[in-house]
Amino acid sequence: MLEIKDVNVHFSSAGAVGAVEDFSLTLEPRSKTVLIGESGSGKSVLLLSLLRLLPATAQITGSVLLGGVDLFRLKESELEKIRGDRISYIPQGGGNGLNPLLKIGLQVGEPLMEHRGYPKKKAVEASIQLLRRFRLGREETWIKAYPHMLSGGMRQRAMIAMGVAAGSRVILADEPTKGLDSDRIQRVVECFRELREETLLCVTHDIHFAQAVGQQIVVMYAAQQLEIAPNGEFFANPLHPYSQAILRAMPENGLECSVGFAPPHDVYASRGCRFSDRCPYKTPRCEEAVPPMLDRNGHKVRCWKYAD
Amino acid sequence: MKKKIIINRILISIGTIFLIITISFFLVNSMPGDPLVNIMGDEEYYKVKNSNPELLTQIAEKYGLNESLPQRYFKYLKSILTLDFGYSYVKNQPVLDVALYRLKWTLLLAVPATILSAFIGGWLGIAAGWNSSGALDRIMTPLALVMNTIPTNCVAIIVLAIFAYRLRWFPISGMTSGGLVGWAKARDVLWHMALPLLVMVLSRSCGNFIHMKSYVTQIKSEEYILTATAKGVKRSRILRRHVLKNCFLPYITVLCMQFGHIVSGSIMVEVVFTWVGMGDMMNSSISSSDFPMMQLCFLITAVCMVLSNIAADVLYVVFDPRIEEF
Amino acid sequence: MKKLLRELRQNKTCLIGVLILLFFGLMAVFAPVLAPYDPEELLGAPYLKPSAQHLLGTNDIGQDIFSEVVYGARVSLAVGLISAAVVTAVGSVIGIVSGYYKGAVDKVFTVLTNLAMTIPSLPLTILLVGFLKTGMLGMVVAICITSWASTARVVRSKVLQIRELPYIKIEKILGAPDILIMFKHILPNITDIVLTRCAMSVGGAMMTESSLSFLGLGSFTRKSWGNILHFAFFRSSILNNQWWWYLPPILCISLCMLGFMLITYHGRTRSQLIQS
Repeated sequence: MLEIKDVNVHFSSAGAVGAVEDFSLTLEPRSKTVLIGESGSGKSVLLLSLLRLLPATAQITGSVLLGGVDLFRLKESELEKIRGDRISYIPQGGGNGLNPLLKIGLQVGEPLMEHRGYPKKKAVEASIQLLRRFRLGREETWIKAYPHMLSGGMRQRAMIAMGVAAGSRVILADEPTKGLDSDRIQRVVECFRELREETLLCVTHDIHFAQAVGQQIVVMYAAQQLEIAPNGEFFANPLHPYSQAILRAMPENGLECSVGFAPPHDVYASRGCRFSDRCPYKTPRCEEAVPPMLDRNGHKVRCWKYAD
Repeated sequence: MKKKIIINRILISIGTIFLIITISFFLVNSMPGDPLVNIMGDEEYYKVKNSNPELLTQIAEKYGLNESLPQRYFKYLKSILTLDFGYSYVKNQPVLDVALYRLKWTLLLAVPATILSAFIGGWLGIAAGWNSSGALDRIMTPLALVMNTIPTNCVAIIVLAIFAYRLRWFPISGMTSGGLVGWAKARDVLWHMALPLLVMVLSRSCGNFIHMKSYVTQIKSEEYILTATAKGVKRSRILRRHVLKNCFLPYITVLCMQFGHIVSGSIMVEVVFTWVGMGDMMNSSISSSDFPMMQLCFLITAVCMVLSNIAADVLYVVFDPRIEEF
Repeated sequence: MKKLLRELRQNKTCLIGVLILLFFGLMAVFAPVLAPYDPEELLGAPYLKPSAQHLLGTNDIGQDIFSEVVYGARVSLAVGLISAAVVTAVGSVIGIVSGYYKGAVDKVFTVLTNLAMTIPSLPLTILLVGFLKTGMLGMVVAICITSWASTARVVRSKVLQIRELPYIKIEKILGAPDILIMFKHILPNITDIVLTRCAMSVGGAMMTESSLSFLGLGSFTRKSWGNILHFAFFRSSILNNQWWWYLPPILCISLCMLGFMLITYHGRTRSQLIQS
């Protein structure tokens, strides 16, 4: 079980504005949680902060408990033993997440070398099995290939294999479908379904992907969580006006853009609810204070509408 | 595919060398005045003109000066193909013989200097870049930047004044004390080499340091380094397995370019320490207007550059898996 | 102007560089006021030690070294500025034209640029000066021939990026003449690069000039710092421990180079990014 409690991330260069504010979430063993939100909402920063992978300018408070141990209180050398062994981070396949000068086999097998003491040759051989689990196809050839020879979707699957290589039980994935077409996305979805024993926390702005993979959906907006709900409940009955708006904007719901835009500066300057500038249900109360997280039978929402 | 790129590069280089030869031919032949002056040099020309005018006509014939320009051009190309670069009337020797002897001394100095500074500058650059804003970085970076701005001849003169004149630890000039053989001679040459070598290593290490440091800082912020950290790879192993390999490629290019400047980069140091190498020869051939000599010096430095360019390209093609085709 | 001053106050390294260069600039402009003697005047006694009369003593033929150094700033800076102006103008125009037209024009210029960058510049400059023989003018011409290429390359790569921007494309569709687009719309966008390259060229040209003059290829009547150093070195000032002779030109050249390095430091890192 992974318990995230009141995580706050501030960048000393960005003034008083937080990148992530009061983030709390519990990940049950084997649960699949998807965190959705628009670019700049702080979702990727949160993911990196959990493993303390942010640059030194980031100030992080709160706690992340893995089996009762607070990752934020560990020394760097102790954390090194947990990264890739008990918690893995999977970068975006479209980016530069794989070293361009090292062969795929070595990079996928590297966690085994680091945490299981495998010699290089054995680790590369083991990577064949790992890649086969995620159906890369022609695995023996691909382990000898360099990252640029693989397509974006293949790189993404190779990185998922890399994440679980050393048997890590908690997987943190950053926008695994970014830059992929629907066919490739389907394959990535299958890969995540393959992770039966693992706990998953996945960040995305692809709502279809969230629906296909997540058991629990978390919505983030302007550094805050707005809604936490089980998958079925969220898509059938979204509570927060923001969630309702993004679901209405999906193609099958008519691509309706019902809320306006607000410049980021105004969003963060607001004393009250961060979404208030764009909210169709805005009341005077919304501009006065940030609403608390309300729990309605396990469906949590941060909105004054449900405060009574 | 890679073979094709390499062949392509070599063809371009041959073209470049050909162009350089052409340029140097027309430089000499488009100069105003009697071309004999440019072949023999001012002093020699007038000396011979007064003492032995017949020799002048002989030389003119040898170089085909009464023929047309294109004819002379082809004759020149042919002589270069047979490695006949002309005769130095100032030194009374074929220029190639002089140049090869001088080149030996230049290489004796420049090769160790390049290798040493590659290691020293590279190693310090890695250390400073990896722990950026650490003590080494804060001391070395401004130092290297300032060192890089001081012209080499100035550094050389200051070093000479301090270590050779004031402290008298090393000889003021020259390459050997003479009259020695075997080990004694080798030790003597090393002793003479120390100061010029120091200056060269000092200035080149600073340049290498700046380059390497910028590569390491740049690569450190790449996403794949974050991936490696997230995999739990130890910092020392990230440096060895992920950072060094990626820094190595651009650094190789820098080193190759330095080998290309091996002659032209030695001029100042050789002149200050009277180290009788190619650089010193280039300088003295100018002051004595020994044009065939100058031409050859120029050709050799240009060929060095072209060769090192090929070397850099080939190494890049061999070591970078991303280059499949252009 | 105000903006420039504010930026200077924030950017300490740049400010120091400007102050150093200002010092030498004033030295060059007010040389006749600052120098106690005519630098070419033979005052009689050679090899005098520094004294109240001759701050830095006299040289081998009895000229006042302090006056020489002050006037030397004029020669060194003049060579640097004139060469840099020509180099930058030529390099920028070639860079803009080849980046803007692409195609055949670009191919020709790229080959030329690559060739110019392959030929080692110091030997070629030496060779050219050796042939041209006319001292200062020959030196400026030689520097210009050998050092326009890197400016052209940097400008070209930037222009290649800018020409793809929508507002340039719109101008083209509207039928604006190429000359107008190149010099009215593209040039203003690369002024920071051109200015940085220009400052670097001044430094580079002064460095080349001092090297060539040190080798004895400069003019002998109007002495630059490199020339003073040439005579100091080859008239054995080191053996005779005449530090007042060889040290001042070294300090002047090095400080000047430092000044140029400091003011171009930020721009240089930026243009390196563009190159890669």
